[in-house]
Amino acid sequence: MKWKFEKIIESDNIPIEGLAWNGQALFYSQPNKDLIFRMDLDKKIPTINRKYTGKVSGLAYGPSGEFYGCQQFSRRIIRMSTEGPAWAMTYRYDGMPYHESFHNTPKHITVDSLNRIWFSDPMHPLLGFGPALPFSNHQSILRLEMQADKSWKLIRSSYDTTNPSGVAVSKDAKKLYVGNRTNLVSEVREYIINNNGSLGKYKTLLSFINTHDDSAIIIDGICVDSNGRIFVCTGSMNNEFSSIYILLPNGQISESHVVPSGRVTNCIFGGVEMNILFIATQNGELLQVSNKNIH
Amino acid sequence: MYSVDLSMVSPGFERIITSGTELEQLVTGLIFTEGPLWDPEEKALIFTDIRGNKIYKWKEGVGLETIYAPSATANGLTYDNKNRILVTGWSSRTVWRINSDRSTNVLASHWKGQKLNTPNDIVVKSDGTIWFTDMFAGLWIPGMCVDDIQRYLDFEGTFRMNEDGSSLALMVDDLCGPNGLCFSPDEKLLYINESDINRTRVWDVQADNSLINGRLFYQDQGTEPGVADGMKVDVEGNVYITGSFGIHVVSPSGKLLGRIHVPEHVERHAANMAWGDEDWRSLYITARGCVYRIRLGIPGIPHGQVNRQKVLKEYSK
Repeated sequence: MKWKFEKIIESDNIPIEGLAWNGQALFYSQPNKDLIFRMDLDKKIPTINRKYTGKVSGLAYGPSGEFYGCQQFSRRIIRMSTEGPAWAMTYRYDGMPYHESFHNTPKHITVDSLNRIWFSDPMHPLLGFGPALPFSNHQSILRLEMQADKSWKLIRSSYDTTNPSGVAVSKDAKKLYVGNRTNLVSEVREYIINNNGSLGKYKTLLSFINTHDDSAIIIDGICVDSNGRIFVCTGSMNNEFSSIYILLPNGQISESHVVPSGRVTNCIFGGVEMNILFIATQNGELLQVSNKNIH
Repeated sequence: MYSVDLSMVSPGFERIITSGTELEQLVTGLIFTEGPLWDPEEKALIFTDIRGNKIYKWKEGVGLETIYAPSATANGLTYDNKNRILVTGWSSRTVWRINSDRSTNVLASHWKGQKLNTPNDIVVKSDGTIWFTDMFAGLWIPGMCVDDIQRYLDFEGTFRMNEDGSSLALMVDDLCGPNGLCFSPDEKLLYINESDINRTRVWDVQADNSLINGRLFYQDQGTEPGVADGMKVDVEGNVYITGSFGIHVVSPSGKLLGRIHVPEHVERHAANMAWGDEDWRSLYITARGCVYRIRLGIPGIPHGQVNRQKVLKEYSK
């Protein structure tokens, strides 16, 4: 079935990145403007939820309503209150010399049903703010696990990613889907999540050849629906090949839909029945698709 | 010990520093040193390690001692007119005081009901008023701010308040990364560094402590690592500004007299300075993981009004 796209926000060429649904409203980030917006479905007029975000990109809500963001400028994950204070979560690995202990530039984030926070940590060309700190010698998927004393522990989860982007976890928290770019391909990987949270070997579900130019297709945000299908955002730096691919839980490509906009950066489900797919793009458009077949 | 490297030297700079002068490394292995402050009674240097979350004392022949930890990522230090240490605290987002019994008092935390950004550097005028800069960088630099990291103020300012923290007043609100600040020896001028654009502005200080005639004083044109961070003046009114290459010595008219190289390793450029030793002719320099000392030909204006009056009186003889 061909999707009918409804444009919610017209392009202003300021990329929209993070998307999060809190049960009542959609939140989205504009890292380049240091802003997070809130949009209630009945009003459909975005309002500024937070200023001075420090280039927050990925957004996610936890199972109890905790609001998290990937603060790229500060190279850390932050937790945000509804409107006021925000707090830095852990941003260093334990047991390492200070200047070697910082991770890179968190980009995409998701929280699984076990309250583990997963995020991609590519080495973004945007340098962190302030006196420079060395980047990690790896670009990995990291996770935060809450400890018995309620503190969070940062754990490296992937050891074979090279430039990770979108992350999503299956509803049963047993599979992790990761967008990753290598020298050869841009691909969606499926990792088995072991009982202790570590990752098993991956299999590739979707792959595009890396053409090493602006036409190379990039995999960005990923989300899953309640049926376990995987929704993958794609597009190229020259804003072509903008599409959403839908993969079945077994990895088969089920559908693909060309998105009439720039490179798709992220997508997420929302709405009262969770059957609205919100789609963000590199050129600053926010679109929605309402469809009883997706939820 | 380093043989000091100078650059862009103007005639007469040898009065301040000669090319054979050595730069001593006194401390190494820390993370982000700042807020140097000379204690003439103890003959010791007090300084902060922001990321290390400590306030240290270093004494010749003794070495390093932690005197306050955790320090709430303390940044700048100075003395008030009762010789108590004042602190600009990054993670606390306050200006606070360490009393002689080691108890503390918060002097400033909010402006018009909103939390301050992250107070950075601090100076006290001879009338006891406390002046401090409030850049937002501490909110975004990892490891600097551990509590609420949300910025609320729509500006980066410089504030003034009384010794007890009363009558907080916004003095300048159009700064780009306000950082080091200092008065001219006669306190008729206030200099403020703007780190984000690597420049120094100056204002005329009126008798009622209001500021007028804000103007550009100095623009760092260098391309080497380093920014306009800490700033101090000597008794002749020459202004010492951290910046590219190390430290820029600028005449009262805004002319660069010369640059003193401070060795940088990975992002270890000079952050701040303090005058010290018996004759106030030693310049102590905090530079990321290290602290250095260099002997200069002209004494500087120290922290603390007793010290300041003493050195000015001595120099006027």
